[in-house]
Amino acid sequence: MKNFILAALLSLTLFSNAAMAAHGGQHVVVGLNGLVCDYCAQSMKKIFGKEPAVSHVAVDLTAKTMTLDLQPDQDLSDDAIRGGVTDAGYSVTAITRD
Amino acid sequence: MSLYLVLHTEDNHPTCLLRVILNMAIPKTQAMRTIRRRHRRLLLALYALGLLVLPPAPANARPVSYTGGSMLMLNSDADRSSAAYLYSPSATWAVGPMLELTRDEDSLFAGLQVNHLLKRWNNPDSQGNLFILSALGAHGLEQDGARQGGGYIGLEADWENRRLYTRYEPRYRFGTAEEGAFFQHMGRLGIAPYIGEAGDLHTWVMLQVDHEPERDDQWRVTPLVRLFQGPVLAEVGMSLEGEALLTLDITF
Repeated sequence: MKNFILAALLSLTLFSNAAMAAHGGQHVVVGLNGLVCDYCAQSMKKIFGKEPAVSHVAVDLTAKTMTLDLQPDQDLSDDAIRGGVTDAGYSVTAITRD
Repeated sequence: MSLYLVLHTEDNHPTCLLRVILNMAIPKTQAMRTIRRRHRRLLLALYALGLLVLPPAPANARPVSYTGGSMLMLNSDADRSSAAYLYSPSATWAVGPMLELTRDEDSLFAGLQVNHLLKRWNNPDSQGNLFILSALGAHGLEQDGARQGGGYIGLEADWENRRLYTRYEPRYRFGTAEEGAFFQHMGRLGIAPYIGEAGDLHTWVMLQVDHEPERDDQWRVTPLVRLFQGPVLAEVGMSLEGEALLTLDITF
């Protein structure tokens, strides 16, 4: 029984990882200054929503971050991210990738 | 709700924006006046339809949007009703046509508005902005159809975090139909009763103070409520003298 449970958990883990890999790409978390209102969030979504490499944009006003989900096998350079944030009228404090 | 209020409030507000559109769209010959009368309802319907079918796009409370962003801004207060469209080719400039009806003078201003973001302070928990506001165009009097050049130039300074909002806006108007040139000042203080996340309905309670030294009632105090969600910003207020203030901004 114990072996069965371990095998099930292992399968589940492998399946989850495979599913994540199939879903795609990198997650980029961008720290932002000046992010104080919903209008700021809308601007970010409009600017980065047009990027072909970006599949989803999420903004967290409390954490002052924007998370970009990238398309599989796609990348978005730090310079492109900083440029987009500047186009929206804000400034970058940090960029982290997983 | 906001659209309804803009189009249907009493004491002349309902027709002000419509008149702006009508006065611009059709010249003032007698024949055209007749056409305008006959098609007034059709134009009203088209105007209302145009507002109602606008895509639920993104908002401004600011005179400059993000690069490539556009804004539709409708405003009506005790003195004026206005409609403006602004396009931002960059995050520091916005340009577009505007129409403004001054109620007391019964005059219509049509012009080109140019706004510039002089400086933005992006801080971890707040943001401050300094804008130049300007417009150049022509005033037309309803009674005789006369036209004269005019416009305004002003500044907008604002600072806000997620709880507090402040704004000061001095403006110099020139070439107006009756008063010529004069200064006006507007200040606002606002507080958010709760902190919303991205995509939530954001609510602000604000107090606006207007000062026009040339006017008989030099000071006007207007409490108002700002509602803001996604691309749409709406404000509803009433001055202590009972005059309505209505704003609808849509960014897309």
